[in-house]
Amino acid sequence: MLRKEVNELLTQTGPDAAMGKMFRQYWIPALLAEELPEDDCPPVRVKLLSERLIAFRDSDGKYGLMDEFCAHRGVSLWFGRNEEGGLRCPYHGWKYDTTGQCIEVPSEPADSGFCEKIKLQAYPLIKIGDILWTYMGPKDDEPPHPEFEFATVPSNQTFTSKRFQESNWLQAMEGGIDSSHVSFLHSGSLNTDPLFKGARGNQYNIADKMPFFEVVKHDGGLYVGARRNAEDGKYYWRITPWVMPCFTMVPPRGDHPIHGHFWIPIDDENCWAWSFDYHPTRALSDVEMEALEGGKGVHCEYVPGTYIPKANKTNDYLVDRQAQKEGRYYSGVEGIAIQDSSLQESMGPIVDRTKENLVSTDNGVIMARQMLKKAVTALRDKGVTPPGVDPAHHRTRSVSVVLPPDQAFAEVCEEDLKAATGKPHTSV
Amino acid sequence: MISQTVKATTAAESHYRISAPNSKGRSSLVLGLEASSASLLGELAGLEWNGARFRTVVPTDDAGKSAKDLNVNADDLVLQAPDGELSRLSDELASTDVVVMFARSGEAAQAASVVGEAAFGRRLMTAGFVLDEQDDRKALEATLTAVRPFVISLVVGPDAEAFSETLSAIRA
Repeated sequence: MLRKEVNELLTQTGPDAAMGKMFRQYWIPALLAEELPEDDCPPVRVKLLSERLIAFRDSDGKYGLMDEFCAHRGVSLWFGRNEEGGLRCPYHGWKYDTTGQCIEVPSEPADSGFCEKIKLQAYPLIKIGDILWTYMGPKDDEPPHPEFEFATVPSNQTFTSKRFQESNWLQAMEGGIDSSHVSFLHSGSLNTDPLFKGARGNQYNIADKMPFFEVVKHDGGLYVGARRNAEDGKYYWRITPWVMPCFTMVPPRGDHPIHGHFWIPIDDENCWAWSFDYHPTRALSDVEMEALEGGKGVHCEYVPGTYIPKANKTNDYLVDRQAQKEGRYYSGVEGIAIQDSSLQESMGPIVDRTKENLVSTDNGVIMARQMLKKAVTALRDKGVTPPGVDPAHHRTRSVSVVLPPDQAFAEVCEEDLKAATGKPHTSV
Repeated sequence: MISQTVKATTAAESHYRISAPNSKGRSSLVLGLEASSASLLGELAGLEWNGARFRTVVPTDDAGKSAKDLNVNADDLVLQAPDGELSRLSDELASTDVVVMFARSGEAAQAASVVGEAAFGRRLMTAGFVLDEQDDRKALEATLTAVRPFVISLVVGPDAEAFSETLSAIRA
């Protein structure tokens, strides 16, 4: 249960909202690099943190992200001509460079200096891994670039996708740190999905549907440990890192790639669910790439030409009641990503958390909300930089491991939870 | 078939969610495992709760006469309420749905085993909160080791406010 005012504090991310200001402390994923594949390619509409923006890649390969609308008459620059070092509004020919600076107003004398006085709000856009990242906060506070391992390994070791989700970012993110739903909602997929099946850990997941939880704070967020019974009195631990405000990693299974997510607000009622798979020490195989590109694992199939999932609310997520009855899909919905999105969207755009009945096993969610609230108010009231801005906080990994009952994961797995180049991951 | 979900998931439709209460009150027993918790739990008890009861385990040495008066067996404990009233763990558990054990980092928290066994035997939910105000990993681990086997959910929290908010979140 969360009080109404706290729910609003955590879910509103527009420019004037406290959480919006906190999101603007971080580099966040803005687009897939594939969306701007070449110089002078068509511009792309982007909405982030309730701001409508246009992204483009100029003739020199420089990326730009700026106000979507021309300063002249408010025309969308999505119709613009991306040519000769800038994006030109097709209405009257005003042209902008990647910094948002107007560089040409054809109706005005070239030496009048008029266009120098026109500048659209713009944000930096940089490519790291498969992602174009932006920072939408005060220029003087721009933090060092992100160092999440999935984005910094060689390109043949990583795959990233995104999908449109029609819910507030927080209820989507909370699914990412809620380990207990895996044994139910995703149970049908553990033994069939090519990116999950075959791992020894799956059997522990399926056999023990009542995990014990341990939630431990780290500098950038939380580790949520879910403990299930293994053989010989030992425990199978799945450790999910959460890095503030919206990065989560799924504990690995066998030698499968590790996956995880970013949950980025589009506005207060929609978000981008970013999903990645990477392997820290080897290239992804052809079979894995085929599965990833085919929407398996935490990814999904799309409506062609979009990042909207093929199974979505307009077709009731293609729910299959017979498959539900037979246990192939616990909820009747196919695919891990859509199993999550269908339920999270069913809660409504912004779930009313005053009506919840949380239980003790929801402690990961409870603690994450507390940390978010504390960080938001500390930034708002005292200007304190929130956890997760420091790239050192990004260098984390999820872990799955079998431990004797007297060993604590936070202590024994301290090194396993740190990302390092070429270091094998700890997985069962 | 036309999707029913499109309309059902709008913000407008969310307003039609029934506002009648969707749960009955649960009885939470918030239990300080060491006498040093008494003052904090006493403060928390003064806040508004949904029926949560706050008790502290009375140390064995101090419980001699009390234990005798209350007929407390070896698998039971003497508890003390903020107003000083004594009771038996077994009696408290009879009207409890969830037991939230509380300890500070570095405390022995030996009572966790008695509480845990008693709660498991009655098939009650158990949770643990360890307050970590000092940066002493070894001390923290000692307390976690004592509590871990006897709780379904274990949280290491940074301050008393986090504990209070955790209790609020579960409608204690």
